[in-house]
Amino acid sequence: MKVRILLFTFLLFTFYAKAQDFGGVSGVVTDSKSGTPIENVEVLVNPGNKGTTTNAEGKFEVMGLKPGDYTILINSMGYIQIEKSFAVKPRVVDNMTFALDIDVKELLAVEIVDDKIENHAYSKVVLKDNAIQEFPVRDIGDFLREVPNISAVRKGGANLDPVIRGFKFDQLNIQLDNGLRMEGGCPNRMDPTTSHVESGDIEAIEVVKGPFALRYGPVMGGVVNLITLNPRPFDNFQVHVKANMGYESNWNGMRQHITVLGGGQKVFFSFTGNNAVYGNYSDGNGNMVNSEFRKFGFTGKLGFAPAKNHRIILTYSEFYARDVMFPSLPMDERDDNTKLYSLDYTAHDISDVIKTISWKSYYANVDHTMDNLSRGFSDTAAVVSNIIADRMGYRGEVGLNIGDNSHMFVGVDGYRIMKDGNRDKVMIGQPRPMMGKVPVKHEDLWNDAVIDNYGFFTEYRYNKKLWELVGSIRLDYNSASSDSISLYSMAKPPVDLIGISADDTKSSYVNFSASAGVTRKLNEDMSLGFSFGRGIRSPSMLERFIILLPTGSDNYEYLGNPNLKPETNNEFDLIFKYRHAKLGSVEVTGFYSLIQDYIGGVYLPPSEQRPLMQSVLGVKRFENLGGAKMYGFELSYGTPAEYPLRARLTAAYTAGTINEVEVLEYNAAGKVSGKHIMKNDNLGEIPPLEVNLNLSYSLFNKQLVPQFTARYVLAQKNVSLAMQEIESEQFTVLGFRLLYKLNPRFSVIGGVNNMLDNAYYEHLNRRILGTDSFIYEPGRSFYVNLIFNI
Amino acid sequence: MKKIFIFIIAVIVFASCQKERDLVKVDYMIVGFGAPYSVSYLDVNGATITTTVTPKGISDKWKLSFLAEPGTPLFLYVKSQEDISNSMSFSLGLMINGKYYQQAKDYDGSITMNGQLFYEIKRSGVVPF
Repeated sequence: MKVRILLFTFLLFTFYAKAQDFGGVSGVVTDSKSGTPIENVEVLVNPGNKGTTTNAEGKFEVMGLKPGDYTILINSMGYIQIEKSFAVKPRVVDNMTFALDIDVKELLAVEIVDDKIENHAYSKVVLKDNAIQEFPVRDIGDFLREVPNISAVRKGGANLDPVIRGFKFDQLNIQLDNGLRMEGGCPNRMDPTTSHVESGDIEAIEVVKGPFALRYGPVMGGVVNLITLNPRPFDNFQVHVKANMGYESNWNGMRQHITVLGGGQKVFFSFTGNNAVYGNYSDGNGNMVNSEFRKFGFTGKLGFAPAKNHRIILTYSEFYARDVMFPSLPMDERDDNTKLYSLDYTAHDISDVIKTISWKSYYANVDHTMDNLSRGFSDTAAVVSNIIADRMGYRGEVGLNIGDNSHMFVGVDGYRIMKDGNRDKVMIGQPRPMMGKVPVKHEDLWNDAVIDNYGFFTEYRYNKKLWELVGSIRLDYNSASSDSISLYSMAKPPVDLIGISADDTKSSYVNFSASAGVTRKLNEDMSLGFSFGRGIRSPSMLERFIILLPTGSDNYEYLGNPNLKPETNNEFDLIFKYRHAKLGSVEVTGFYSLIQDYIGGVYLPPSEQRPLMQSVLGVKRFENLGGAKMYGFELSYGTPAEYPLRARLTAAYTAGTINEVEVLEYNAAGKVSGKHIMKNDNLGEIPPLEVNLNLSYSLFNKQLVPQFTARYVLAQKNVSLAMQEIESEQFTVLGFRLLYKLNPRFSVIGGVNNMLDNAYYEHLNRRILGTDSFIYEPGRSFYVNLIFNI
Repeated sequence: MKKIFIFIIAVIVFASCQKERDLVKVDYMIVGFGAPYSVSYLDVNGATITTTVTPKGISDKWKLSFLAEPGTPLFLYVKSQEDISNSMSFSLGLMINGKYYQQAKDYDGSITMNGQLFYEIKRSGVVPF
């Protein structure tokens, strides 16, 4: 007996001693957006191939690991996979937390087979919602300036209008959720597409520079795809709430955003609501900039999963803006009411050949009212302008698997834009009533103008060994018409001062666009890509039909031209990528664009067309100005993501000239006195070279992340003489922020922008109306963002 | 249940964001005339109204009040044959919420129509936001 007891005791001690030599890993996996635990996540530890899955609380445990180096792989359908290295020590159980990001490709049926292409032969940038939430994003156009070679036209405190590599306005295709586009009401672009979307609703932003992504619609200079939160099915009925509250000191600005996401397997939903109230900000000189605004709105989405791999989502949104001030424009945005309806159907893995099907149809209505009623000069004439802009459209696409190495997308899209707007002037500056009445002038800005576009597109992708090829074509039929472009004098009988009849406004074009790109992997870490694209866009509603309004950066009223030809961009891109596990990644892109039929303004002498306002220099009509070119580069370097100390350095440059353009001459009184033709004048509104540095350090397993940012922008001396541009000065801006993630349910981000309170302005900032002074950027501003997941 | 309550509160909060702008009280006021005069003004709907006022005495005040939204154009014009060139008593004004927004204590000019001299006073503006 004693011998048996001794033997048992010996064995017990032996096993105990062995067990003490082992270690393990445990942890919890959550959804980074909602903070909720994720069940059934695959957890795999190698070497040894030891696996498990998370329980209902998102917890997992893998024990019995010998001391040594391991990697842990966290994988769940619909989320981006995480792989992490760790070391096992004897008798230690390492505790880890993983917050999984939703896989954007999974959200987008159209992108679900994008994995055939690893290295695009053109510049494609994807910004995730984490990056958006961690900044005090009061405006998407403002936030996009974080991307190299994206700048924005600032006319006030909000609603900045993105510019990509010098391409702007309708040269860009800015859309929501793969194909939905909204038409702003304002001819002065107070309300670009980005202003009709709440930043808190954004899951990701895709930016494709150049005329290459032809699947998304007619494009000339680039595509910005704003992907909003979509509801998704849950295994069991659940409701998750997320709230985000922010404050910015300089603007005395507050904003709130709430997201409610929930549902079950068959029916699911999301609701988001937002409210933002911002005051005027002070620039670095302490001067107040008239920049206040108020925005609020909500979006409801209802999803159905009628069968496996099939989803239907109905969306309804209302967005409102009130009292948005634009010191560079003659009016402010008083009311902007946007309503959006859309129906989306997506399906994937239909058969071996048909991988994806998607259909989208939508209708967007913008009711935009602007006025001069907050301006001193409203005492002369109280002017109110109202514009109704409707846009409806559709997009259908089938993704085909046509071989082991190739995919093809085929689809159609179309849209109709309708605009009608007027301007009423109550002439209260008149010394007395005329004919017994205070005079009221009624003028059209647009007169029931319509543009229709029908497109067909196909894209082919091929990947074999070291080669990746992408080719796409699109064909568009574009037609436009309007009621007469007229402006009647107050004489009796009234005289039409413009006189373009409705029949003379009709135009139609067939545009053929094509792009092709090839990428060659030089080795596992390095690739080189080359792309050529020819993107054509038909003239916009503004360029075709606007009736005498100052819409440019110069002080002229513009007149539409129904006979404009489409504008074409022929662009070559070269892209080099290098990724090294220990050294980091480098990406260098160069581009060269040859533009045909560049659209700009040509001066009309007063004998041909007099302006409506005395404060402008005259009238310009939109015309095709001939050839132009643009070229530049982007460079980015980032240290490996797993290093606690991270650095990111970017630089971007664009230049552009127009082959021949008319330059006006002015006399001492500032009136037009003559003109001459100039060769190779600089194109206007092109930002100068800029360099950005971002340094961050992760502490306590990324719970605390301090970050320092520096931005250096050179002076812009290459200005357009034809547009009477003014040179801008160089500047440096520093920022600091601190991200603290207390737990998956609460994070706080605080920081300061423009730490040194520098007085500076971007080259693309417009000048304050009637002056040569640019709108300065905000001075020092402290901010705090609180993010709750309930 | 807690989440549903939060959801309901959130909907109410955001729905309440859509409040209309507050109306303000506008007064057109004329006082100090001893003889009939013509007054023209823009009403709340933007229509020009012209009427003749016969004061009972120089202390008889003509006043018109209405509620208006910010941004409403205001216009008040008086044409009088009474010689007010040396009058210290008359006052014409636009008042917003009981405070003077525009005020005249002197005439702006004179005009001769059909051989008759008329004194004119005009004040205008926009209800501020």
